[in-house]
Amino acid sequence: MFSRLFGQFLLQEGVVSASALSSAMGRLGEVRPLIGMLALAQGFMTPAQVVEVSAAQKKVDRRFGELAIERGYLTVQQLESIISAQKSEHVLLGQILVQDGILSHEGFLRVLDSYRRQSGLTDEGFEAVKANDVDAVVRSVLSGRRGPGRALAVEWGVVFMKSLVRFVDPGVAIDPLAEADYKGLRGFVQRISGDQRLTAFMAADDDVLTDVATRSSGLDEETARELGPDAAGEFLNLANGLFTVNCSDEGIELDMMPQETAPSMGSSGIGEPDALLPFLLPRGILWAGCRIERR
Amino acid sequence: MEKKFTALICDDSAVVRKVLCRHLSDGPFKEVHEATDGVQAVEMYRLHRPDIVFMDIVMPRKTGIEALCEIREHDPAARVVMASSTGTTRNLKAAIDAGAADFIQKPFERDAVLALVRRILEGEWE
Repeated sequence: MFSRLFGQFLLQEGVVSASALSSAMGRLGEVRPLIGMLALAQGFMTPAQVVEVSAAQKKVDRRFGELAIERGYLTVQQLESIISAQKSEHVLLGQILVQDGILSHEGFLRVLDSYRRQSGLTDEGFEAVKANDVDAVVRSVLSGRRGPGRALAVEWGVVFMKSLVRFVDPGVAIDPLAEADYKGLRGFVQRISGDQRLTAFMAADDDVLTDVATRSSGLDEETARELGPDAAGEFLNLANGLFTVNCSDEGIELDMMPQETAPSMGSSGIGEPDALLPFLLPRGILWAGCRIERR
Repeated sequence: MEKKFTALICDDSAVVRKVLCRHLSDGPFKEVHEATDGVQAVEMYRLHRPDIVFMDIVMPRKTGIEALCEIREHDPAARVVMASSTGTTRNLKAAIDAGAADFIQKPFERDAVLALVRRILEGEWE
């Protein structure tokens, strides 16, 4: 979970390209964590110390931990806590990017710190994120949004993300983005009206949509492909349904209207939604958003 | 010999119809008909007189609640289960007032669907 959130942030900040990120994410399971990166992420060593010990390690056949302790950069207790700590995927992601030459050690620390500050997460929230607490992740990330209709937009985002987590992918990433080009992507839109009018949509390439449809409906991939747009559109329908139930529980009644496909979202009069959320799924990025209008 | 029933699924989503059809194929059904909107739902009911109907609420041309009212007007004994992702208090109240036999929330789970079928057709499905 956290590695995807962090990866999404790197993508948004332009630190990595989508293809480099996909490649790095795909290699997470193959990589052995390095003591230097773990010590860096935990704040036990500085980037310069890690670089120095790594360089020394290449000249002598000795372990990183031994050399770091010898230089007074690490204590035995710190080394033991690093070794016994759970594998942190975001550190592995950073490690891959450092090894690929995309990030420096300093860059990794800087971007991790920047992510913590810009995500709007409290220290407590940040720890909850690392612990894969879905509810805390969603609420922390979305609670920083601004603009008209924020409360409903946030709530819709919460439900949509929970739907993705529940039906599609346990490791989903989300971050705000104001503008995006949807040309070439297939999208779906559904309006919900009541005290407010809410227009929700999602867009992605066919592969991602088929994946969403397959996982959310329980149908096999071939059948989902045969059913085409309707299969993925039903997922949005489902997420919106859950959203209206949530609202109803809070005393806000909304009417759902039949879903419709939007062949060209940019020129269909739908306009830009208040919130546009990129969800990093196993097969690519799915864009989803909604617009709130008060009547 | 086990009695075989007829079902009617009314939903504008082909995915929902397919998933529900698969779940029902594990139940005591000889025929499962499908309608894609509220108007067709009423027509199909009159034509096939199914033992049980699964009715979506949000559908084109005529809502599930409206179709339910017309079906119940035509056949007061009709057993119609409202099936929707929008199980809001208002929807539920409207469905109960219109004589719905039960309500099932999407997404459907096979066991929940079959348990509901058993309950609705109680005494007939043994």
